[in-house]
Amino acid sequence: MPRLRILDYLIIILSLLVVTASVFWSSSSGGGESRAEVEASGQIYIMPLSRDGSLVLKGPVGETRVEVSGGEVFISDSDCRDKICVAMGHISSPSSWVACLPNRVFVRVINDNPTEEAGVDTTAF
Amino acid sequence: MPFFRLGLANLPILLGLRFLRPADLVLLLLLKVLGQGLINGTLVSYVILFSLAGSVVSVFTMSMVYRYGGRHVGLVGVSVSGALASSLVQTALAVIFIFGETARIIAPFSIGSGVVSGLVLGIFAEKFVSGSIWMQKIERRYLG
Repeated sequence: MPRLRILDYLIIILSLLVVTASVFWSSSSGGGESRAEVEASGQIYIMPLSRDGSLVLKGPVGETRVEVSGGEVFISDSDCRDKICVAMGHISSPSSWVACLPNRVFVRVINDNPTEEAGVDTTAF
Repeated sequence: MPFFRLGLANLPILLGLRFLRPADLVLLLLLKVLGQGLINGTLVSYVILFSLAGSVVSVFTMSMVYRYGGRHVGLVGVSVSGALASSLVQTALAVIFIFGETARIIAPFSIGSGVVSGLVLGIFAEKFVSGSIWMQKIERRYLG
């Protein structure tokens, strides 16, 4: 190893940071229209994440309210006993989901952009 | 894949940074791009433009770093910054003009492999320059 000077080290550190940043940049969902697909009692409803709104679904244990706000979808309230679905929080990235199992409500985020269509589920190196 | 090629061809440029005149450096750059195009069979395709863009940005960055880094930078830093600049520009061009969103996925790998090869090349160049009599002879003949 030759003697490295201060700028050499700085430049190396900088490039490591850039490579790390590129990992995050490459895995973000770029472009395309994200939508929430809600399935309840055999019915499917679509809610675009770009428009705020709410939907009330009826199921075996009562009502479940699905809301879209600020580009995210979440279950704001439900008649189930434990309310785990509400605690699951807000989702917005493709393939993420929340669900109220007792009330049979399933919410999933779908995105049409090419990165998703390329079907990258895993990479081997 | 065009983006994963070894930066070995940057070696003459790296070595020449010390004493070549800017015009000669540009000539070397063009020779390198043309040569790689011929060997890879990509001379008459859009890929050559990627190579050209990457090499131009790379040489420019390396010259700047070398000139203004002065005592505080060695060939390792110069080589890595050139590799980084080249990889970034080529990835950006690929995303914008060719592959679109799909190119983002390989970004970390192409940038990373560029940086690694830049590092290896820089280490080799640094050791070579400090220990090579051949190098000193060439420098003397060129400058004298």
